[in-house]
Amino acid sequence: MENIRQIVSGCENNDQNCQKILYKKYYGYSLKIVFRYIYHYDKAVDVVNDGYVKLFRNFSKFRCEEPENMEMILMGWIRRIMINTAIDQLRKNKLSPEIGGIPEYVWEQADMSNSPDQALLYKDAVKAVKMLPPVYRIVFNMFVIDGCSHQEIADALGISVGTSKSNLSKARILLQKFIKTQEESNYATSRK
Amino acid sequence: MQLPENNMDDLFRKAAGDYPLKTDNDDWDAVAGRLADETGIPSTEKTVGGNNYRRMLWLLALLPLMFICNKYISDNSGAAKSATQQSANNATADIKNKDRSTERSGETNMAVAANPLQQAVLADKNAKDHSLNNSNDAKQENEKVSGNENNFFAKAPSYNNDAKRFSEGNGALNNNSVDEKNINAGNNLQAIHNSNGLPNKNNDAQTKINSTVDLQTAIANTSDNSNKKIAENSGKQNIAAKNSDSSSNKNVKKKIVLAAFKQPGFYAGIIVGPDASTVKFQAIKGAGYSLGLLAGYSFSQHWSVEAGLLWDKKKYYTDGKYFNSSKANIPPYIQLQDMNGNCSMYEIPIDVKYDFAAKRNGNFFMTAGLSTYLMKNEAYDYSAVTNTGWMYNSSESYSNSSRDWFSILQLSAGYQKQIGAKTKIRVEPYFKIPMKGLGIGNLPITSAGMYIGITRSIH
Repeated sequence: MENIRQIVSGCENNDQNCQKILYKKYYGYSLKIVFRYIYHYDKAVDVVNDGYVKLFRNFSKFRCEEPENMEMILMGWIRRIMINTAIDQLRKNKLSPEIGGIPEYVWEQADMSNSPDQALLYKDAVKAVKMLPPVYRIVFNMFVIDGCSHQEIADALGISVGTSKSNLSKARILLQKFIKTQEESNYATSRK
Repeated sequence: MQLPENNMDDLFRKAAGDYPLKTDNDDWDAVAGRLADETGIPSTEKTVGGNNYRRMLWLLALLPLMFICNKYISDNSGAAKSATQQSANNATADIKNKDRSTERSGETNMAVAANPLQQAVLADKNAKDHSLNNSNDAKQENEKVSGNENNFFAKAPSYNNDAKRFSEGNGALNNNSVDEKNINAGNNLQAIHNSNGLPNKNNDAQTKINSTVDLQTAIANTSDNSNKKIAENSGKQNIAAKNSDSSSNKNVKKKIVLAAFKQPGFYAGIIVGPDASTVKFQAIKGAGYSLGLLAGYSFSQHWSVEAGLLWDKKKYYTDGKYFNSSKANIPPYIQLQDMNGNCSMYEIPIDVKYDFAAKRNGNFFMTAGLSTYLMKNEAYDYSAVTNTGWMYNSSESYSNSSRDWFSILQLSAGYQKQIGAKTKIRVEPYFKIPMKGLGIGNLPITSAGMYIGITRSIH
């Protein structure tokens, strides 16, 4: 049943076992996508579940013209649905920024034992993105991380392509400033 | 130190994929539960829509059946009514005949008791004439009696004359056997006359003697009884009169109500009801409502014209392929997927109404007509895919987007009941079929629902 084609075929036929396998298999992947937009862990979990309900309801719309790359295409489709669902959630909250930092309980301890420096770096990178205003963060996430075009971002957010480009530019500047500040802070700490 | 743009992007891409987020809190049961609860799965929804479509077709197909049933019931009730009327008439005739024979004897007695000597002389005197004209009189009397059988009570004021006529027979008072035989046979009054007249034709003298003696004896014997009978009969008459008064009052009331029910003229009222809308019989997403005013004019017992002004709220779902986005400010490179519509509008229906025969202050009716939709607001939540394959959700709303004049065929059938002299309540399931695309997206929105209304005649 681990064969992705069988899973997809089962999901197309509303087979609950296949749906469960797909959900379990890509839940972590989905949660990491959504969390980058929502930055509220409990809400992100709910949004992922919402996304999967939407995904299974609309599974008949999944098209794969390259069966050899089915998993990649499926993951791309899941990514889009999760991003859309996350953006819908942010819209409901009128893109208001989150209050407070990210609690420690959301981080996976086991992964950090493998390569703690890299894990810390990645964690800081994700935290850095959280510092951005919500609109800049969405544009940065969509363009830089999720590979969307400015046109797609403009369509999704209801903004112009120019605004999307401008927001991306400002997001980059802010992130570079943040990284620079972090480096300077780390350097000062190490000098002491 | 500033990171090169590409390096920074790579860093964030890798971080986004591998950052150490806790992901062991999946909750498949919640998702499975929601999937099981969801009724909005497209394939299932289409089936539900199909079932609704079939149900509505069945309802429409039943409309003529209702007409036939109503007609059949009316015919049967008419036949039953005439049968009941006939039996009632017969019964009344029997009762009347019984009363009549009793009354006649009573009346006769009364007449005799009132002027015994005059009556005796009259009887004696007329016996001869009567015996001569016996056969003709008998025939005429029979004709009169049989002809006026049903108008017996109408003839009550001329009882004295009848009494005189009957007293001409002389032997009537003593001819108990004849009375007994004829007491329950009003139509056989001929027998009385025959027995009074014809058998005595050849025995005039004897008849004269007998009649005089018999009358005197009868006066003595029956004066008391006759008084009692008079009292009884007058009592019966009073009761009969009272009964006839109360029944006639009831009939009058019924007639007044029915007359009010069928009276031509203007009427107005309010109607309200739930509305379920669908585009090409796809899924129904929630219920809307209609609320408004109604005015009508009855031309006759059966035909009326109605018009209204309603405020409608409709909710519907459609696949994006049915939505014409040319007027909707949606870029052409965007392919609409699913749309949930929510529109508010004024509706102006103009219908012809046919009322079936009224029964027990209520009647079934059917209407057919055309409606106009004046769209005030249309709001759509939709999912779409760009030409680059990007899928997203958005929403749009449009104000005063369209005016679709007489573009909706409205069919309905219902029941209305008179609840006062001028007031009726009605329950009216309806079905609205678009004859062209409606609203900003030219969507064929089919609606079904049920009006509940109250109307009042304006005479």
